Amino acid sequence: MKMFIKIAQYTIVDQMRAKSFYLLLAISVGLLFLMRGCYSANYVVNGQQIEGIGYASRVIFQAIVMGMLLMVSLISMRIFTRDQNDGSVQMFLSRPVQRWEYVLGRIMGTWLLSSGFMFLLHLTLFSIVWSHTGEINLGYIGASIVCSVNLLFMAATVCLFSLFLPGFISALFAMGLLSTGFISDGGYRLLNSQIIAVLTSSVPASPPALWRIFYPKFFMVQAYADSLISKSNFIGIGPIHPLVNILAFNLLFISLILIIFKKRSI
Amino acid sequence: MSKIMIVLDAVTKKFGNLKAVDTVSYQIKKGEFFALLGPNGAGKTTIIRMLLGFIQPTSGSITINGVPSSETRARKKIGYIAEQHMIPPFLSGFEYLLRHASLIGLSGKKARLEVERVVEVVSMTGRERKKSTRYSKGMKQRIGVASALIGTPELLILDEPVSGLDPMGIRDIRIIIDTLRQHEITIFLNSHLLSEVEKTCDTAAIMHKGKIVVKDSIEAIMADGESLEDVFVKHVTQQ
Repeated sequence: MKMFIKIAQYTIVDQMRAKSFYLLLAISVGLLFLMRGCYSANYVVNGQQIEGIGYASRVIFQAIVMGMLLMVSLISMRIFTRDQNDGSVQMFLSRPVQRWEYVLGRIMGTWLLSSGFMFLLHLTLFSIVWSHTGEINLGYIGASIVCSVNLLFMAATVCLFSLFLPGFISALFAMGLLSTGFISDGGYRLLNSQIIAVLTSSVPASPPALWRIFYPKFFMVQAYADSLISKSNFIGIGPIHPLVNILAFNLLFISLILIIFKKRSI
Repeated sequence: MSKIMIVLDAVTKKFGNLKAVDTVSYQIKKGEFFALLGPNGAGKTTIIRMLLGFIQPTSGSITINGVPSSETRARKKIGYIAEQHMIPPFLSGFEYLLRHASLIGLSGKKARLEVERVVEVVSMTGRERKKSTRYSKGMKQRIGVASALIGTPELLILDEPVSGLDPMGIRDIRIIIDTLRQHEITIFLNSHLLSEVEKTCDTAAIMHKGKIVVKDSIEAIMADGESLEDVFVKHVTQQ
């Protein structure tokens, strides 16, 4: 267990060595401040006036998560191949380190780093909203923690694919998986929205297909996070909560990585 | 306590249809300086990878100090130098060695002192804090040797430690290895440099096409007044 924590720590430290990490963080925070014009804009959606800052901040909140998902996929796609090429894996495994400690350490390190990065950006957003409205909406904090589960999913998926495929292709496949989920769940929510219900009032809402219930629910996790910020009711697809769904996929994918890596030649 | 450090018992390793190691059995005593010789593709590095648990034998068993090589605790007292030792490019030699020290359970001042000790053994003092990308091949290999010496190992596994080095580098590494003999460390050397093996090793085995064709003391192998090179060529070309 101690080794697993040590390797996670090395993973974080090594990523933070790159100057580009700080540059990216500074640019991201800077962009958040530059977008402050959005917060005082007037938005009209479906003929209704929307409170500017609340709406814009929720959109930006989701945009940060999307950016982080992309960043995690780019970091994760190189973990195992880079370690094999630069001698890191030999360094760890020629010492009393178990393979599961190495694998979990690498994945957890990547996840913690990206979650921390995302949390900082969300915290900046929270502070901007607070300074504009004077309201402390802790939903932003809760929502950020909820979204970090999606980052873990992304890291685990890309790492799993990278055991069979070249890094970039693995990231593309994971993005494809994510996009399918967004289209499927987003489409389902749209079809079951109030507007569509009014337009198609004669057609009863059909129950979701089984695959839609079991498909990785990142979109629904995002929607759930959004409901924490807007303090609105959350309606998912099927009986399983999206967080349970994504956590189960995380467990499954990480277990698969451990099983495959255990038999892998170094 | 057992006097045997390494036991290979009918070890076979297949990669698809290729038998890289074919029913190899031998033992290496504690404190022995053993050399594994053989042409390229003979299966020497495969044996080293199995010793370190990087790959598992298809059949047979390997134990190190009585512990199966697949178990983590078998690697507690092993130092390993790879052929063309790699150091992650973002680390300095010092940081790399500090990680090795940390991975065997040393921390804080103890770890730093241990790193300073091994840096001195390999004559890298003053250069250890440079980024590894600025090291020459010889310097990387020295840091590799230093990493293997951290924590005073009982078994050193050296996979072509002087591969690609210039004559001065080869001499320096040989001197370091020679000094290790005084500490009664078991050394498992995989090498192509027969003249070096002749000078430094106690026992040797010649491997060819995955099989051990000779295993004996250096004196016994060269009993007919032949050089090790002659014996090597004879066995490899006969098969």
